[in-house]
Amino acid sequence: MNPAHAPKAARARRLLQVQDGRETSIGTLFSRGDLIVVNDARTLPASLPLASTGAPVETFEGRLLRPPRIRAHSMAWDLELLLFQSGDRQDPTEARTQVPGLPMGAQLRLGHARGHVVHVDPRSPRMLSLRFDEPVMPLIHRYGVPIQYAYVKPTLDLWDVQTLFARAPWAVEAPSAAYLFDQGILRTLQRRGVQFATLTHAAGISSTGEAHLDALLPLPEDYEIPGATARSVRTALAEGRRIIALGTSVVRALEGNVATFGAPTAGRFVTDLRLSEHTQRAVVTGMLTGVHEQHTSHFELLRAFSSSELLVQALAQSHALGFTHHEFGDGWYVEGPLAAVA
Amino acid sequence: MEVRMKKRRVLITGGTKGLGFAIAKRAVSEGSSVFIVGRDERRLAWSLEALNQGPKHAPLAFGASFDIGDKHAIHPLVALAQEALGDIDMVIHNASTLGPLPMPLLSDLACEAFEAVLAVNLLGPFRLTKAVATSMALRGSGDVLFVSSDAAVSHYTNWGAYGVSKAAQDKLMGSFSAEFPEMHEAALPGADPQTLASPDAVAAWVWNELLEAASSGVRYTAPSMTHAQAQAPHVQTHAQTGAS
Repeated sequence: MNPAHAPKAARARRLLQVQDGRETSIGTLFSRGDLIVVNDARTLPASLPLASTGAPVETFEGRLLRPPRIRAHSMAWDLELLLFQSGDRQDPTEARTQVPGLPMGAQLRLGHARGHVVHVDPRSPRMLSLRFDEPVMPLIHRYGVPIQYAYVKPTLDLWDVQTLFARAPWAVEAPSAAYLFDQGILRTLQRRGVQFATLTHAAGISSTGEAHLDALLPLPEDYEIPGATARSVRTALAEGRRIIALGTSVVRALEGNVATFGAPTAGRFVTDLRLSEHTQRAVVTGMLTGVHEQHTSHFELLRAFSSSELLVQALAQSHALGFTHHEFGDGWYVEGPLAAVA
Repeated sequence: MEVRMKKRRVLITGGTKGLGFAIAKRAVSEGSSVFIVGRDERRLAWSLEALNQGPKHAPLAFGASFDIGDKHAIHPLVALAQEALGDIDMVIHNASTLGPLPMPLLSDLACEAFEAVLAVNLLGPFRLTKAVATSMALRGSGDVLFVSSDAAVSHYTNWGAYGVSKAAQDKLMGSFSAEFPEMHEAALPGADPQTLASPDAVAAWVWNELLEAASSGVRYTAPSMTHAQAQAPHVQTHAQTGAS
């Protein structure tokens, strides 16, 4: 299967139903009573050009590990970053992981601003926190660009990586399952009686370029569930209606929330839930998601919904149908029964 | 009837002077928070300082310097406004440009100057509305206000590009309104801040009328004012279709 080399319109994206291996469309999959929950995180320009202050000047690409947290009444603003060697953005990230260790206090420039290292993660010298003495959100938006992908040919700008639902700037990489939707598709489903609800999940970095760091992903991530969404999910659950997650970030937020509180609960929390074949889903019956190749972490987490055999068959079928994979590629709908309620 | 909070989180383009600044002042004086956008950084700093004067625990006014006619300004400014305000309940498309001054006859206007007028007065509001409308509609509340002009309906010499941009912006507002079932038009009476009343008087009126309109879902028309017209497609799930 080939990766999608460029963004394309929602209605040009194809969809496979994993259970029966047939090509389908969002318009025909869902009907009255279904509840689709979407992640309305807006995507940040999370790739930042950094430079050392000494001579000779060394340059790095710093990728946000997670969105900056607001510290009330603080005069210091921290960025949690993963460093890469700077290079041509079409060089694979795996080839850019050799960076020198920076000591505490070392300075790095981001445009006009200087930050200094206040924390280095013991697990990797590439994972560190930079502290600035001015708010970092304007800096990110002034100097950052969206995280780029080696297989995507055009340089991506923020318009390419915002989803239809974008609201709060919380996502380091786009909640890309939402690329399957445009306003027309949304309206068609709403007219048919499909219900929609939103939550915000701070989708973090998706790959580090090193296997031992990828194994840490996803890092614990912030999410927020509005009161109206908690009510909609509770009602749908009580009435035995389907609850469909648009993307893995929505599954993490909803299942993590219910695992913690026992029932859908509104508020702002952190989830460290990792989806796997062992996940006992209590809320989400189905998921719309991008197509990912075997042996990727994304493929593995689909086993929370479906057997390996079915997933491997679906992959072969997607290949035969000429589907494309990765962020801007085609989609899958995968569904499975909920775990028996304890 | 749904009780609406009077404290709003408002994004105002062209919010550093004139009507935009007056609305920002009014909003802040009633406890709402604002994010103002203007091109001139010094003017912005001055406006924010003026808005944040007074005995408050935390500032209610935020802002950033962007050119609303620049496509690449839109997502950054929305993100910064979201971050500063917590959420955006209302967008006021107030920024506009007349083009080169003194305003030349249409035939004498440079092609690039016409494009620049359309970029600020028409494409900016299109892009900004597109960037916020779906999430507003899904969350069930939000207002988008367009500030129009009588030049959108009448024809004057030298006002060609501006009039075209404002007429098109009215159409933009109507089209968004038709495409969002949650939206309805609230055509607000207005007054030309330059000739009819002070910006502060107009702002007070618009602000109060907006709060009123937000809970009523009625289409308002100007009873006596004929100059500027502000029109608001108003996103609210429970709103009725507007009637004149």
